[in-house]
Amino acid sequence: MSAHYDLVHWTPFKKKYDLVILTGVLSYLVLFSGVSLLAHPTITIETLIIRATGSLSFFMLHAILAIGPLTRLNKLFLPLLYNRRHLGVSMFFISLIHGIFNLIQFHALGNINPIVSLFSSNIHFGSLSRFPFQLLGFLALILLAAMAATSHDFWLKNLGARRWKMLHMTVYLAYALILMHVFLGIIQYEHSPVLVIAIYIGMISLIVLHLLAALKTNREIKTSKVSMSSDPDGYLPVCSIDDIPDDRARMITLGNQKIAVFKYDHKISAVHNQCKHQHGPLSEGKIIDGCITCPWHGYQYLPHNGQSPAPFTEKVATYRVKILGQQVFIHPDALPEGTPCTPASIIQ
Amino acid sequence: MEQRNEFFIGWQKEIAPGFKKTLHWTIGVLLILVVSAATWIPYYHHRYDDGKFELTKTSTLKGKLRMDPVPMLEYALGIDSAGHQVLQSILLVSPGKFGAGKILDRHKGLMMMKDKPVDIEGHLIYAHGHTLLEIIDARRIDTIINSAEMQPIITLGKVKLKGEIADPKCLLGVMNPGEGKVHRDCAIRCLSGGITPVFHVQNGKGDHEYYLMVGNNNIPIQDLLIPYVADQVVLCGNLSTWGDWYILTPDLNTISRLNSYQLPPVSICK
Repeated sequence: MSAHYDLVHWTPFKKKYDLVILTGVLSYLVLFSGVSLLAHPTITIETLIIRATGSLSFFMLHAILAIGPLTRLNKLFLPLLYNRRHLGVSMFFISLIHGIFNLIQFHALGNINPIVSLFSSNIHFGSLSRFPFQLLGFLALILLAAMAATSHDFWLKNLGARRWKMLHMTVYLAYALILMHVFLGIIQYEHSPVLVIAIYIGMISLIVLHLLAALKTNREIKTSKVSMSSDPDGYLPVCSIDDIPDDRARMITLGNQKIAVFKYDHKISAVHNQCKHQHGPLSEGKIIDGCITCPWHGYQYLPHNGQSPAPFTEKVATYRVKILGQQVFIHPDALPEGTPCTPASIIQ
Repeated sequence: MEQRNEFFIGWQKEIAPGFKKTLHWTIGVLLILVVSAATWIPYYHHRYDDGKFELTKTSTLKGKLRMDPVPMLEYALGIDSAGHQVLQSILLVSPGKFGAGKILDRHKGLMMMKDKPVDIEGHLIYAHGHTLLEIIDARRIDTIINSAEMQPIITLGKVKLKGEIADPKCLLGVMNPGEGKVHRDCAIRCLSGGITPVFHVQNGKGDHEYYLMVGNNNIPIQDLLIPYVADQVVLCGNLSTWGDWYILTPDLNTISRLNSYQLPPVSICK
């Protein structure tokens, strides 16, 4: 969380995270090169770079795509999410090296411009076995470039979380393109089933993880739905006080709205569930230093007004709350973002 | 219950034990996956046919420059026991994805060099008993090379062959591997640049044969073959030998692709 833009807002954890990425990348490249040179002594340096960077970026993309559902399934994976964008940008640069060397190896030093060659050399679009698979990789690289270029919080702020998120969800389209790039390309040249099996395992693992995460989310939404029958003041009964752990929240769903209802300091407050930063689920956050703290990147909001503490400027919508007996009631009409709203006091 | 209450904030110095433990396990699993992938992927990559490209070594060869049916240097290896000159036919190409014409055309006296002794500087490319030379420079020389007339083209007859149309420069050493689907675009560029196409035939025992492809009356047919590059095809044609090389004049009407879904509708070679 930062009040101004830095190129990278370094924290000790981010430094460790990046060190692990760097170690992993270098280990992979060194080991891959060593085994390649032993197994194929006459391999050219260009082919070696293309193979090493192509396989590494594909591997990293699997890790990147697995982090989201893993954190949905188990909160203990949240540290992986915190600096995922550095993993994504690293993956893009490795893919870029793969793309540039492909362009040099297969299209440069010829009788036409390499980019023109990429689009015009192989035009068998009607055949799966002869499909111009390099184009699929090129399109995926364009998507990855757009995501890497806009990964900074400057773009998140200026594009708005919704548009930014939509742009970054194209990572799934990039994955599909890369999958086809691999299946319609190198796999058709390879003879060993081991590589094909490995790719299927990766793909199926991602599908299963995403399905399990979706099932869990659906279950949570179902259990968080409350009856829409309101009292004469328009308040809806949402849960009992005891349903909310101290300094934590319970998510409730009112129609299309997701609301985080927090219990802290013998009070109850309710705010919109989506963090302004990357739409993280505030209901999975915690009250720390008197602030609602988002579980994804630690963005903070004051529970009674939905405003980030100064000098930060983020605001979320607040909801009116009341308590009758042990029952918590919420008024379903959201107040404008950052509107102060008196918390309901819990009488002991 | 303590773990339930643990919370992770990236900008805090300390990480709760539950998160730390999970991170350590995850890094361990990733490390195993990294090592496995980095070992198994290159190990299981297809074993390609390897050739040699002497990119950093320049060789200077003297011989006679032949331009028909394809640009070739007849290089005198020496004299055999019967006193006959032993020649090696070295296919000529230019740097990059170009045939020999690209660099030879720069020399105004090319026509003066044709069938004359020349001194060619370049990088050797070789595999399976066949050699190419990537020309850096060529000049006519006055040295008398005791070569007979141009080696004769000996007609062998009609053949039916199964193999892949490729560019010999990449196939015989520059790329490793310089064949198959992954290399298709590059082979198309090389053929477009004037490199003589080669028909690569490989039997089940790993033996290789290379057939330089030209049209009737030695007309270049690169453009006509480009649609079939990098596919396994069956074709018929007239076969001859010229020095160390086979020369194949394909009947373009007989070329048909082979793939696992389709048996070849090969017409009988007439």
